[in-house]
Amino acid sequence: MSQSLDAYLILSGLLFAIGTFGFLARRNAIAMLMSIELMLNAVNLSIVAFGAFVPSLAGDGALIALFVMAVAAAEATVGLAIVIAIYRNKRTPLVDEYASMRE
Amino acid sequence: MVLSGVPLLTVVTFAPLVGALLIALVPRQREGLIRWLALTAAVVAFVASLALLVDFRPDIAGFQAVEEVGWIPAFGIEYKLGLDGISLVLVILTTTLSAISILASFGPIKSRMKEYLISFLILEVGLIGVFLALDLFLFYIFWEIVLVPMYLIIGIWGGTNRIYATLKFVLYTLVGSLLMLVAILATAFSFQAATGSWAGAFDFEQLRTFGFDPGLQFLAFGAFFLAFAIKVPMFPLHTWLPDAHVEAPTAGSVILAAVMLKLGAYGFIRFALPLFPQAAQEWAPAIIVLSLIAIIYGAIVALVQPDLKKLVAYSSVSHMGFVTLGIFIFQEQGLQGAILQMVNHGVITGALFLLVGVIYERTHDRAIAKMGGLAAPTPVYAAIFGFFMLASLGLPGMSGFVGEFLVLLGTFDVSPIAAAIATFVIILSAAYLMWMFQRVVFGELSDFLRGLGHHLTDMTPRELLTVTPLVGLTLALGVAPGLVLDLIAMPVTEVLARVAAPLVGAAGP
Amino acid sequence: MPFFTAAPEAVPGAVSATDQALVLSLIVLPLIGFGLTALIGRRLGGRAWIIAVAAIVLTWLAAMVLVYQTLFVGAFGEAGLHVLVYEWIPAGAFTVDIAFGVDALTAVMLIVVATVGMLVHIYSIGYMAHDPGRWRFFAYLNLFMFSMLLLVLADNFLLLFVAWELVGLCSYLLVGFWYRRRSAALAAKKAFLVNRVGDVGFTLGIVAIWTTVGTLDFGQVFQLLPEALATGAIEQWHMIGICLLLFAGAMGKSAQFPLHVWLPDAMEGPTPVSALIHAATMVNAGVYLVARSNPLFAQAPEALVVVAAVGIFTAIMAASIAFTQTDIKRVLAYSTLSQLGYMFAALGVGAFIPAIFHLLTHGFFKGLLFLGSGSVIHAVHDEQDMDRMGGLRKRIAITHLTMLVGSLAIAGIPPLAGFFSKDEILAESFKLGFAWVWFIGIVVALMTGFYMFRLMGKTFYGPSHVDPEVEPRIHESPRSMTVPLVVLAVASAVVGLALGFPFENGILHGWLEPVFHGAEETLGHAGGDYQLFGIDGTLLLISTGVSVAGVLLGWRFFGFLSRRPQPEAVERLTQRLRPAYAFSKGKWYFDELNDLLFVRLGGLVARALWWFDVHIIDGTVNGIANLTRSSGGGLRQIQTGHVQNYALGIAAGLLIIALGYLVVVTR
Repeated sequence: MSQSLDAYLILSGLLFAIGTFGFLARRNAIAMLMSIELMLNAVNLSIVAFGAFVPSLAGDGALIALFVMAVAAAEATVGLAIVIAIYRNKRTPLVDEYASMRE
Repeated sequence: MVLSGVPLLTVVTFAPLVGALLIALVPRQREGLIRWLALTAAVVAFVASLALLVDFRPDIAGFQAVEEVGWIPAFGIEYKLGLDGISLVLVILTTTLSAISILASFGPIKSRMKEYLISFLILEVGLIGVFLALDLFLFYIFWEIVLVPMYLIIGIWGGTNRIYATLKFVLYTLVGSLLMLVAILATAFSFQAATGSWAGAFDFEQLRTFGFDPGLQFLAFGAFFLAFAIKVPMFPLHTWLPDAHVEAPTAGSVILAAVMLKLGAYGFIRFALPLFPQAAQEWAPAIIVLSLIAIIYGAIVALVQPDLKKLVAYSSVSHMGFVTLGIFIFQEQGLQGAILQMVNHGVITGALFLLVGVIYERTHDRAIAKMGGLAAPTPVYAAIFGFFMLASLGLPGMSGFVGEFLVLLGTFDVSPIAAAIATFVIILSAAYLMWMFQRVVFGELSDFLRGLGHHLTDMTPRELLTVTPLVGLTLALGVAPGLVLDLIAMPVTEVLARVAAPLVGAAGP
Repeated sequence: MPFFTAAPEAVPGAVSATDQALVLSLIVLPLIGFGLTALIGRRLGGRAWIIAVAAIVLTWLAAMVLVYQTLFVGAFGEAGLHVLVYEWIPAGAFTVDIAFGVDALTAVMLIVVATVGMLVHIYSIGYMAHDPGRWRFFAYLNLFMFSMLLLVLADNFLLLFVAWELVGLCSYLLVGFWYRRRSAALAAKKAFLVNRVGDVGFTLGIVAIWTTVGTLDFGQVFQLLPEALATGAIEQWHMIGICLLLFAGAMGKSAQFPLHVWLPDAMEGPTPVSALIHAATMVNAGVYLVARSNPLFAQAPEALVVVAAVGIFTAIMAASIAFTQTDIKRVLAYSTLSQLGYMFAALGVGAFIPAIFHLLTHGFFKGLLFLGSGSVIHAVHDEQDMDRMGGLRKRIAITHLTMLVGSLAIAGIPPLAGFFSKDEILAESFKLGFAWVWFIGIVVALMTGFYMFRLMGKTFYGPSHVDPEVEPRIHESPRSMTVPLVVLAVASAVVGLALGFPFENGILHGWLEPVFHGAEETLGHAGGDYQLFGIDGTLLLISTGVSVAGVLLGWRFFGFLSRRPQPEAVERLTQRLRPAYAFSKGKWYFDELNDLLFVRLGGLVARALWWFDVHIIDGTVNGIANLTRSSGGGLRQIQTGHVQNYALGIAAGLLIIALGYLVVVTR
């Protein structure tokens, strides 16, 4: 375990950037959801790291991360359900075809 | 003090609301009960407004029968109503014409009677509230309440092009009133900054003795001016009026012309002049010029209108020009004449719209070109129409004359040139009204009207009942204008004293 | 010294209840008559006249008592009788009372108004007997009597203006009485509108008076305005301006050039209306106004010159048009214009009493002539064109005789009424230094005799041109019509001699002297002795001579009594003077000019402004709305509906915020 907070934060930043790129670049809705999970986990990582290194947090970071994971699970469930519903309707997982928000 | 202890102003203001709530509880099938309830509520408001006269003392300065309850104490906003001669006169005008309009609606309105009457009663609440509110925030609320039912009345029960007209009407008036809200807030903040307390920051009685910074005055007056000028409406902000009138149902037109146009003029007299006296003087020359243009321009354009309602609408622009001229000439007789003219215009133009409605009921048309020769089949209608035509062109002995003459008198005292220009309207108003009357009432019966056969009946008793009080009022105010002038003399001197001697400097008390 | 000397507030106490009631009854009786007739007249059917005529007969009695009290007993002194009813307009410093005043001038006006009014009412019983709208007619007539009496009784300018407008209203209603006829409706409207042009001036004049002296009460104004001028509080041009503005109103009501165009058209109304309103009473209101305001006009001699010039020009212009008209009522209408012009000329030269004298005599003989023409029209079944009359002398003998008296009277043949008043006007204008007025006046006198006897000749003498179908049914009018004719004929014959003899010192002069004394003194018109064998006699001879010459000329061309008319001679004359004839026949083309200026050009302006309103002003409003909507439409393109585009926006925003934060922190 590294003794520097910076290393965790850099890793977390990289993970978040990868997740963002994935969300913007991938056209498949499932892959986009996975990218979102990646971003959430990046945030989790930074929170846990802060919890370990910032004395005033006194280990509460892990607790916050648990909440984020619960939210992420819920979000993934609902997100997948929506994607499947749209998939049944549109017969494609590609979001380029999902433009009904326009009107 | 016969009626001391009764919060009469609140009763007058909210009696129609009670009626509206009761109507909401009645099933829509029971139309007779709904009508009866609506008329009763309006008549109660009317009687209560007359009861205001009992304890009213025209010789006392300031406001009477003030009712004051804290509302949002954090910002010093209060529920505060008060009465002086000007508001008293206009409240009675409102309750009178509202009752008449509701009665006049019973025939022409064929669908959704329940919703219509609820809208109308809420409209009345707003109108009365505007004339009585002494708290700027409360005033603003009432001011905007008026808009909603009118929007519905034109938009649902109006003519073919009603959506366009009603949107134009609402957006146009909103533009002005939102700026006014900003100005109200600006004055409140300025007051709070000067006194260090929110207490009284929206209270008109406190604000009117407070000398605002000239720069703020100029801008705030501009915002108020826009709101009021659109409502009056002053040239060149008048074009919503013909559209709204043409599309509105008869009773809507009546209230629109008779009372709503007075809101703007009332706003000038009650709020804009006393709050911002210096700015008012700076703005006055421009407003006088606009008023003169409105007087002449409205009359000339009225000459060539092919539609009866449009003609009356443009004549309103001309007549209301006299009101703003009388207000901004800052002269005693001028201002008295302006207020009298407000009442007269309400009565006379209201009646003219009722009468146009009567003919529309029978013909479903308002084109002047299709009319002609109404005198023979409908003599009573022709006589009453002629009566109000003459009243509108300012025939002495009827109410229109005294108001117009006083405005001219006041104007001449200040600027003979302006008076000379305004006087020319007595030719023009006679021209457009008499030409219209000749084409509609005189001559042989037109083919279009002949085609209606026995549908072309004279006025029904209900229609007669709606216009007869207005005939009486027109004659009474023509023969005894003191009825109104005695009530408004004191507030007029107060307003003019405030404008003539503004507090110098920005610092408040 | 102005005529009203007593302060008005001091007066009411001195007024006895009887006198007060008498004055009020003059106003109230016709009003009651109007109200009752309007309400129940229709149900009375053929007797719709009963209430109206009864009311006016009572009014006449009251008026005559008042006239007797004022003029013969002198019960109210020079200050006259003043009755305050109530304060009408209380607007701060501006207060106007409903107040009535009766002095010698009012009393003289009452004689004409009440007498001719009553006779016309009686005449109308017969004339309107077959009209289904007669109840309306009598109601309007009573309303008119109310308004006209209010006009002469009013004790301040604003009340006078009220009455001024009300008589205009009655004129509108009565000219347009046969409203189905388009020409009648148009004429009614025209009359009202042209009057309103004058009213602009009148209104401004009243307003100017108030802003100068702070009151509109006659007595105070006539005292304070000259005082203000004397003390230098106002300047001379101010006084002239006020007088000219008042005169503008008078020009409208009394149909003086260029506002004369409405009066001939007003002949569309029933003939009794023409006699009462458009000959004997209402059109004199302008003369009355100027005469009443004599203390003001006396201070503005320049304004008086304008009055004289307008008057005498109208006199000769109208006379020249009367030459060629063939409608019997139009000839009389132009003749009325011409005679009103005389009155204004007299006022303008400062001969106030002759002006009122002529007003009085003219009221009688012109009322007579109009009622006579009504009788003629009645006889030939609603034919007004004189080319389709002729030879009626024996068929309607009473009408003929009475009209003959009227014609001789208006032509100025002694000893009938017109001779005295007209001669006084002409003589005074010459003696007061207005030779040009006198000269034109003499020419007009010549023309008057000619066109009147042209009218008589074409109507009564020579061969008949009446429609053969109507010819056998020509009949004299009923008693209710002929009796007023006879009464008026007698009045036209004797009233001049009775009131105006001896010359310039008759009874009338005694009555009116106090009213105009101050003005005459201001103008420096010291009354010299009457020289029958000097200048006055010569002038008398000249004016009588031209009047007779005019009558003889008419006789020469159009026949008179036994002489046959000479259509060939007339034809030769018109051929020789073709352009002048066309100009006269075309009424100097005023109607065409007005049509061009006001109807066509005015209509164009109005349409242009309407276009401006719809396209420019409302266009701007709608333009702003469209701009808002289209800019919203443009911005909508950004909303693609693709989640990832939105996410890109979020990410970019995040980046910008982060970078911005870094920049701020590192600063």
